[in-house]
Amino acid sequence: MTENVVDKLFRIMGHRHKEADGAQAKTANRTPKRQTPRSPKPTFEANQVVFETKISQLIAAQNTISAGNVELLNLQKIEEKLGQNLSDHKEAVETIIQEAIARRLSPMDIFTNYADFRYVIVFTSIDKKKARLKTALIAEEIAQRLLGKTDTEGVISIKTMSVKEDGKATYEDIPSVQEMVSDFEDSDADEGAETLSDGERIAEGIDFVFQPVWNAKRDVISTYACVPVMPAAIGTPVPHDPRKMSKADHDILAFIDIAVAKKAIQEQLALLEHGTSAIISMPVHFETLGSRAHRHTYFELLKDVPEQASDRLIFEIHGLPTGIPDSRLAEIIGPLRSKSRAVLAGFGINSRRFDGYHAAGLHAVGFDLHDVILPERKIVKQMDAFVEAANRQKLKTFVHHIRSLSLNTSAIASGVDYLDGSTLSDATDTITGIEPLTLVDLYSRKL
Amino acid sequence: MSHVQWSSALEIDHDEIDAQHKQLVILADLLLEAMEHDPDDSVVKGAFDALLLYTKQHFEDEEAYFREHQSTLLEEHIKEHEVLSAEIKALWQDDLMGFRDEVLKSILDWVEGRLIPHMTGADQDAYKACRR
Repeated sequence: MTENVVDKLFRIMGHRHKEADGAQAKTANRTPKRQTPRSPKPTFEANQVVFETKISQLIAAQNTISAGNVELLNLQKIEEKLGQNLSDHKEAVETIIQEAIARRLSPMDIFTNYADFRYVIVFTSIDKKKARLKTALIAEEIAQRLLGKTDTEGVISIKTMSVKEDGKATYEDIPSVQEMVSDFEDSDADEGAETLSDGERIAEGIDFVFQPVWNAKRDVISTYACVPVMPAAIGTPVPHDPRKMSKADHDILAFIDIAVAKKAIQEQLALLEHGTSAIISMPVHFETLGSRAHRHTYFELLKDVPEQASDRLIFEIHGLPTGIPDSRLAEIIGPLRSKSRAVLAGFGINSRRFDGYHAAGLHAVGFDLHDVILPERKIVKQMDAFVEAANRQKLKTFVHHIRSLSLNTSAIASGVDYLDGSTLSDATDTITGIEPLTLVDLYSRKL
Repeated sequence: MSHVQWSSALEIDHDEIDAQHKQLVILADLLLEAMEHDPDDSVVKGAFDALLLYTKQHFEDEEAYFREHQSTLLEEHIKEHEVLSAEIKALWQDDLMGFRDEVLKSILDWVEGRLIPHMTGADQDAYKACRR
């Protein structure tokens, strides 16, 4: 998990409102926002110069370069082919292009239009060969959707950007999608079965959903938990919650935590840009915060988050050991608290000792019912005791994965503050902001 | 014990405006009391809704009065109302969103530092600037 040029790109392009040239970075899996047309239209040469300068600046500021997974997509010919029709449909065309790109990127990847109909895509977790293939497939889809043909020859040009040691960028044309697929299959056959590391496998498969969280004391859904999910196995897209992964491999946990944080931050920045009010919570493992190296990487990521966005972010610590000394607790919670609206911690349903947590900066403690296999009456009893113990320490409470309406009602009766689960609302791809929800609403669905 | 109390020192000597100001202070105090004793109680939500709505209504009434009586400070006053309205709405929304420990202090700061000085300062000035 070496920080590379991609992270730099993320930071600079992710904060594009600071940039003067109006380039807009997008994160994957989000419908792009309407763009403001730029006028006068810059020339290709001028854009190339601007872009090369920007990339060179990035490289100059960064010693470790991950070259070969930066792809440039030039759709200028499509612009020409659409001709006069374009002026009336420019926004729709741009949306189609950006959707085609976003669909094939992992949440860790980014893309930006550095000029009209010219895009740079940065693949963060796959090698050059796969990055080129994905870009070719994107080009094919764009040609199919906009021109009704899959042949991209003479219509879309794709270049792979590489960076020399002196910091200068070079560009290599890539062939058509058909050739790319054929090359990919041949080289794959030559190399035999591909061996992916655990981290690469997760990077390839990881996706995110947002689980709405009900603020039961105010009758609203205002918070969305960013939940990393992975397919359980090839061909069975059953979400697997990596928060539940074995703690054996700290590197993998840290990888997931960092991926989640990136996604949550990107999403919150996009929400703010759209004027949508919502809080995003994200899990982070104690193991990540406890390791010097992972902790450093994690906080580097948070360092540049603007205050307006961090005020809408929440951290939920998993795996906080019981009996941890107060000074160590403050050391873990303090820095997170300064970069967020609140810090929560998840424990087992039978936990009762929360002394010192509120003073250390925790807002709430809670538990997850996902793995709790007990009769409901026992769950209710445990829930009552948990909430009582937490409230004695001036802590609020949360419960994840409420699975029945009766448990939902019991949680409210117990005094739980924040709840989520399938009886409340399904996980979603799109955060919609603050939505009213009362207990009556939950029952009225059954009527 | 009350957090904020109405007193004759807050009057601007206009019966209707003073009555509404008094009501605002009572509603703010009710909210602060509820927050102090049980920040999660439904009374808090009701009291906050009431303060938000009454503040909006009061500002509209006040602006209508200053307009009718041709206060030379009307435009300036409307702008100040807009700022105050946005501030109280932001506090209301912040409470609604949850995950906040310091809402009580923020509201008290707003009432003492923004609302009451507005009553005793800008309202007084705009009233005195009425031409008829």
